[in-house]
Formats: sequence, structure tokens, C-alpha cells
Amino acid sequence: MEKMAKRHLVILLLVLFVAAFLRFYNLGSIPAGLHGDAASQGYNAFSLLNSSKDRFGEPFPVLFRSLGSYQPPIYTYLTTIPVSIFGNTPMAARFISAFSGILLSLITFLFFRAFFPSKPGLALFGGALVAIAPWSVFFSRLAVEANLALVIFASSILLYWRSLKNPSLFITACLLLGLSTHAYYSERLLAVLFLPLYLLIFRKFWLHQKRWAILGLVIFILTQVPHFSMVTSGAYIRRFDQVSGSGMDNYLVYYSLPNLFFDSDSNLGRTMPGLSVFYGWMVVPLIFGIRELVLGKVTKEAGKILGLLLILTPIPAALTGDLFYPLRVLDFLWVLTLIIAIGLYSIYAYLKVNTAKIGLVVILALYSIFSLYISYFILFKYEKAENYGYAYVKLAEKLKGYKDKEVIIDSARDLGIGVRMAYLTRFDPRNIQEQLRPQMKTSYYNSSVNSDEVYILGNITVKPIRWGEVCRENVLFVGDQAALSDKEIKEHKLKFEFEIKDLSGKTALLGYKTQPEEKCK
Amino acid sequence: MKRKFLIILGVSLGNFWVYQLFANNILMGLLLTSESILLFLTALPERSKKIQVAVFIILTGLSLYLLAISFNKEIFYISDYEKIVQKNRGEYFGAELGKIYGNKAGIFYFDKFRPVVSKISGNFASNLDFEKYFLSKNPEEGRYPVFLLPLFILGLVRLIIVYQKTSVIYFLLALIVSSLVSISGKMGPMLLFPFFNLCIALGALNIWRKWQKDI
Repeated sequence: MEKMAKRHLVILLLVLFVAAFLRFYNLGSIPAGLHGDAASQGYNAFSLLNSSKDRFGEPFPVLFRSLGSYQPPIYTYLTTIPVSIFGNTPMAARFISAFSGILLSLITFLFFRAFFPSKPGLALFGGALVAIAPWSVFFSRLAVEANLALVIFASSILLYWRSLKNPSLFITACLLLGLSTHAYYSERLLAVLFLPLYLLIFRKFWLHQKRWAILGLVIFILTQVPHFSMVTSGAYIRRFDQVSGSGMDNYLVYYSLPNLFFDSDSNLGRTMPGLSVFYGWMVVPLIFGIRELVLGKVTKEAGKILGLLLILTPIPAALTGDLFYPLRVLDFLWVLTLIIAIGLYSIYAYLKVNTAKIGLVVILALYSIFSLYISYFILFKYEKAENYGYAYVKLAEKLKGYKDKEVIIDSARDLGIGVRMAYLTRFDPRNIQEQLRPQMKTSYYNSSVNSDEVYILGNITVKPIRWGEVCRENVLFVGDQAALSDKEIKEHKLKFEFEIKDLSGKTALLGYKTQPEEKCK
Repeated sequence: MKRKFLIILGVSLGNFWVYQLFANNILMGLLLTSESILLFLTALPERSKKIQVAVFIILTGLSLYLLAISFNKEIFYISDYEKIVQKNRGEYFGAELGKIYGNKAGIFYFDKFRPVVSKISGNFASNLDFEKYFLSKNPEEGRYPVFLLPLFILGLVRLIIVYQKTSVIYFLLALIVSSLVSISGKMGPMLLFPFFNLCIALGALNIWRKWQKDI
């Protein structure tokens, strides 16, 4: 690869700084709270650090049993590093995802440098667009395995490209592609679709490099051995059973311009208030990018790889029952970002005057970061705090003052409360393992996974409220307004103790203590 | 030329949308069908300046009519629910942005300008939803049969490649006007009808030429 000009190196460092800032700024407090899945990864990492077993007492699992399903393992294993450094905080649980987001920006830069060595500016555009893309910032700040899987997958694509010049890299590319299947579910299917098609497209080259091709394939198959061992248990397809249901419509929605550029939604799998997966203005460079691809202005081989990825990457998500679920198509969104970068660079190159070029870049960058700040760092923070269990983070602090009481937290509507409280209170993993192992209704790896575990964390018990317990002395019930409704409070003569509000000001949790002397006399 | 004319005529009349437009207003149906043919003619190598002028005269007339009967008043109307959301958001902006929000320009931008832009961009996006045109599950809302979708994509790609100025300007103007009208009404995105017909016809023409070459 050519030596990079000093000016480009400085701009690259600036791009990486922006990527890091947008991912790590207030990472512990935005999103406000801690999602159950994130807490599960964090606590399993904490448990591994302390006992070499997960919270169910399974030594070094291949898949992590969690909340009625299984979590792919790599994210959890890597999370042991930030948990050991930063402790049991929301930031530690999200660290690997945020770091992956920065790496993706760098890999995109390297990707373009490898694909288009004569256009160093394009590589910078690519890195910068990933750094500020709403989808990348949004998912980098959540503890989602998909973001880590994307970095591994993107690295493998970069190496597959480079291996056309240096065939020995094919082995590392296959290793990374194989690893990506242990990082997220979409990659399991994507990898087995991509690899044979890649070999088919470049068959002329690989037929002359059979030795490397066979070695690479062997490496890929070896990385799949843990999956093979899971196939008969039912755990391998557990998640697919939960989300399956497909149709051509499910595939085409990923190409819908409103979904990609204009619609915003509130669900975890989607985006932030007022902003879609991409900024609205990006629709214009996308069209220019497609034009460049169709006109063959990018090299033929690069066009083939991008085209293949563009068609393949939405397939895993299309096989699920959900319509437009960005979390499952991060690979697709990355490919679109590459095309947008190509389009934006062609517009930039078309402008003849330097002032216009700089003006275009500065205006788009400032507008994008401003929109992102308003939508994510303000609106999302306040309006979506309830989706991320903000109130339970506050509750964990509040309950430090209730050590003399028996506390029962209702878990009827949120499966993640137990593990969230265990993570935030740094509860002894060995104790939790002794509690949870006997509560498994099936073997650790199974197609049927129960999620109704009761957590006993010292004086705190996390389980659905049973009103038979109101006649016990010194009990504090904690739950949302559905669990502790006015009717129940009146009927069981409960006494108000505290209220915890969401950032939006809405009541999220209530604490009421029993009065057996009133209720049960 | 005769064959090309037959293709655009077939496309313009061989869909569900044109009959919905005719049922709603015969004159509009006629004008939009004519506009489809004229727009198609401007995309051919043998186009003339007069036809281009005619396309934009008809577009202006249709736009004025559409804005007069279907202007989306909700763009400037704030519902009770929106007022509550806006009030809450005002508090969040106030807490996070301080004086940047708490001055005349800030309040105007966040409370007045942003919601209006958001509604217009919502309409804009809705007009770009190709699913609505080709994959509608409700037969009454269906505009084109789904098998025309590949032809449409082919034609669109062709337009992107050759960059036919008149068609692009027509599309952008039609999109802007359509963003200001009520999308739920039957006339909704009617200005885009000629553009869709153009893309489908170009796609069909492309396939016809390829087929003729092969034989």
C-alpha cells in the first residue's frame, strides 16, 4: 500500500477522534439505563472473571443461555476486559460495541484505500461517513453483538479483496469470516452465502491458487466446529425459531428509501426520535454512488464484491418475521454507507472550486452532527429512558438505604430485572450460579429455554409479586404502576415509601411497604 | 417511433392507478396520460424543445390545481398530542441547550420550524415509498401490478445512467409539490404518475431492444 500523505493522516486522526467522541461521550449515561441483554452480557463477563463460569454455572459456554434464548459468545468474552477495568457499569457493558464502531471507521478507510488506491480522498470520506452515520453511532452505543460482528465481517471482506493480490491472506480472511459467525446470528447465514459466491465470482483466480483456497476453506470449516456441536441440542436454532417468518416483502423493505432515510421509530431495533438510519441528505449521494457503480467507474472487481454484498446482506434479516429491523442488517447498512461515500466523493470531485468543496464538506458535517446531537443526545436520552431500564439503575442506588428490609421487585413484565440488579450490585456470581442452575427446566443447551428465574440478591428478591406475602412484616414491594396499581395498594393497605421517575418525568417505579397490622388483623 | 409510442401508451393505460385518476377527475386523467406521453418523448434522442416546454406548462397547471384542492393544512396545524410532545421537548431542549434554545431564534427553530420541516419530509418520504406503488396489499390502493417493478427499476437505472435532465427536473418538481399535499387523498402523488410511467416504459423499451438484438 502506498505511503499516506501527512495531510491525509491528520484528517484520518480527526475522523477517528470524531468517531470516538460520538461513541464514548457520556456512554455510561446515554442511553439512560441498562438494557437486560446488555446486563446479561456484562454479568456473564463478571461471572467468567470470578469463576470461569457463566451465571448458570456453565464453564466457558459456546453460546450464553440468557432470558429465554442464547447470546453469541464473542461479545461476552471480550466484555471481560472492560468489566475488569471499569467495574460493573453500563459503560463497561457497552464498551466493546463502542470500540467496534471506531474500528469500523478505520477499517472502512483501509477498505477504500485497498479498493481505490488512486483515490485517498474517497477513503477519508468513507471513514468519516461511518464515523457520523446515525445507524453506526446508535448501535455503537448499545451493547449489541451485531456491531462487533460487523467489524469482524468487514475486516474479512477487506482481506478477501487483498487476497486477490496476496493469496496467503485468504486464510486470515476465512478465519475472520468464521469468527464473525460466533459474534452474531446474521453472520452465520451471511458467511455461508458469501464465501462460495465469492469463490465462484473469482474462480479463475482461485483455480490457480488451489492450495490457499483449500487451506482457507479448512480454516473456515474448523471455525464452524462449535456450531456443529450445537446443532443436535436445539440451541443453535433457538433464536431462529423465535424470530422466523419470511417473505419477499421482508426483503424489499430493506431497500425502501423512506425506511432508510426518512422514517424514525422508537423500537430498540430501529433508530432515534426524528432521525432515520441515515441522514435524509444521504439519499442524493446514494443515487450518485449507484450511478458510479453502474457506469463501471469503480473497478470491475470492486463493483462485483459491492454488488454481491448489496444483494446478500439483507437476506438473514428478511428471513425473520420483523419488517425492517436495522439491528439485523448492520452489514447492509455498512455497504450502503460505502456506496454513499462513493457518490459523495463523485459530487465532491465534480466541484471545481475549492471553496465549494470545503463548503460542501463543512456544511454537511455540521448539519449532520447537529441533527445527531438533537435526536440522540437529547431526545433519545429523555424519551427512551424507560426502554433501557433507567429507573432500575436509580433503584439499585436507592435500595442501599433499605438493607434492613426484605425487598421484592416485581419482574412480571421485564425479564432482565434480575440480571440487571445482579450486575449493578456486583452480586457474588457463585451465589447466583447456585440459585440459577437448579432453576433451569431443561439442559443448558436446548431448544426450550425458560426465562422465569427468581434472583435472590441478599435482602432483594426479584420475582413476580404474590399478594399472599402482604401479611409479612417489614416487606417492601417495588414495581411499576401496573404491578402496584391504586386498586392493589388500597386492597392490601400498602404504605407509600418512594417513587422513581424516568428522565421524561413519568413515574417509572413505586415502592410500597406492607402493613400487616392493618391488612391482616 | 410508432412502437415506442405504443409502449408508453400501453404502460400509461395498463395500470390500476390511471383508472383511479380517471374515476376521480376525467380531465386530470387525460392530462396525466398526455403528460406521461410527452415526458417519455422528452427522454428519447429525437426530443424537441416544444415538447419540453409543454411538459412544464402542464406540470405547472397540474401543480396549481393539486395545491388548490389538496394542500396539506396539517403541515401548519399542531394537534393536542403534538402540543404535549412539543412542550416536553421544550423542557428537554431547555435543560440541555440552555441559552441556545432559550432565545427567539432557538425557540422559533425548535418549536415552529423543525415540526413543519419534519411533516414536509414525512410527506416527501411517503412519496418515495415504492412499496406503496407496486406492492400494496390493499387492491383499492394498488397502483401498478408487481411484475412491472423490475421494468421500473431497469428504467430508473437507465435514467440515472444517461442523466436525462428534463426527466430529473420533472421528478424533483413533482416530488416537491407532492410533499406539500395531503398524501392520503386519492390525488395524492398524482404528479409522479407520468414519471413512473416513463421509468416503466424505458425499462420495457430496454428489454425490447435487447430481445430484438438477440434474435
